[in-house]
Amino acid sequence: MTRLRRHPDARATLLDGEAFLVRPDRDAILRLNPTAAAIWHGLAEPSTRDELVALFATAFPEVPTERLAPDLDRALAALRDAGMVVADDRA
Amino acid sequence: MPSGQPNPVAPCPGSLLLLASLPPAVSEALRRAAPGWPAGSGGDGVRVNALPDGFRVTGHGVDRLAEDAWEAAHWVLAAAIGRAAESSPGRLVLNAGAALVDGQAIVFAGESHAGKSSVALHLAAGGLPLLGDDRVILDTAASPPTATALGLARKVRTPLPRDFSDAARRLVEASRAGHEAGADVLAWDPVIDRPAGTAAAIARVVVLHRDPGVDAARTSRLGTADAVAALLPLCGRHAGSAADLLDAVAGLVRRVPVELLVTPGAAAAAAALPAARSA
Repeated sequence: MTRLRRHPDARATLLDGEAFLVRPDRDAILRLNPTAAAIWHGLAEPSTRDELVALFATAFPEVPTERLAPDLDRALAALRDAGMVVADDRA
Repeated sequence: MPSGQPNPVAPCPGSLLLLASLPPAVSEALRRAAPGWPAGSGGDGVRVNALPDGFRVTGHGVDRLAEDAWEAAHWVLAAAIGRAAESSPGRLVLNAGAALVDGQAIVFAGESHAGKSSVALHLAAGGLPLLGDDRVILDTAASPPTATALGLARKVRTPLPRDFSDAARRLVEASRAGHEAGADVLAWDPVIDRPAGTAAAIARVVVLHRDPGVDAARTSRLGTADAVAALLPLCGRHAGSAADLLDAVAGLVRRVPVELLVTPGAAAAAAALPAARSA
């Protein structure tokens, strides 16, 4: 399964505890919702999508996985579409 | 910075001089669209070439074909304003109008059709000078941050909304003199409208949100993150990269109060703005 990582040029700016992501070479600025922010933190180390789901399941044991996964997938897709998260093909 | 004085530091559209002459029809359209520019000014380095079926406008980030002189003038303005916004760190074009109260700018921002021009009309009818009704340049690196007039004619859409006050209706009739009737007319009054380059310190920024479902206008203070998120989509051309824009907007909202104004219409918005209350 594809490992994912933060784009090395993506920069996070914290405002009132909320994160905005921006890349110097792109016009897009992304405000992270809580799910996307958790993914961003989770990707401090490259991870697969399933590893992130497992991380979320541990962090939010009261939320069923079948609810966690779609939220995570939507947020992950937005991060990838904006170029903030990319496949880790360095290995 | 005192109001009504050209900003001596910031080059603005009024300080740009044409290097190339404009076709007469475009020059006339520009005179009517940007009556607050000094006579003979235009877009520095912007070229307008007449074509068999229109015009081509090139320069300062613009390379567009225009079907008629009005469209060509629009692109000349876009190029000149973009150049002014991009010429100095921290500067950006905001989709906003601005009125002067005690020499300070009350900036009211909003998307297209949010009612900026209508709010501006009501504020002007109440006696407030205007820096603009649609776009202004913000200088977030200035201390304090400033809003600068672009010298553009105000838009007046007819027929006027039903909630327009009598004073605003009279102002429309007076200020549209000289323009032919149409769905959109241009208004300019040197008593009301400040010329290009006029800068004033920003007292507050109000984000307009029209909601016909509410009974009365309601204002709420936005936190830093919400204010940045509300203003970013309303920003046009700016100095530097997207990261620089984020820094500029974040710096602005840390120093200037930003409020959300949910309003059923323009008249209610103008009455609710602090500018209107203190006029």
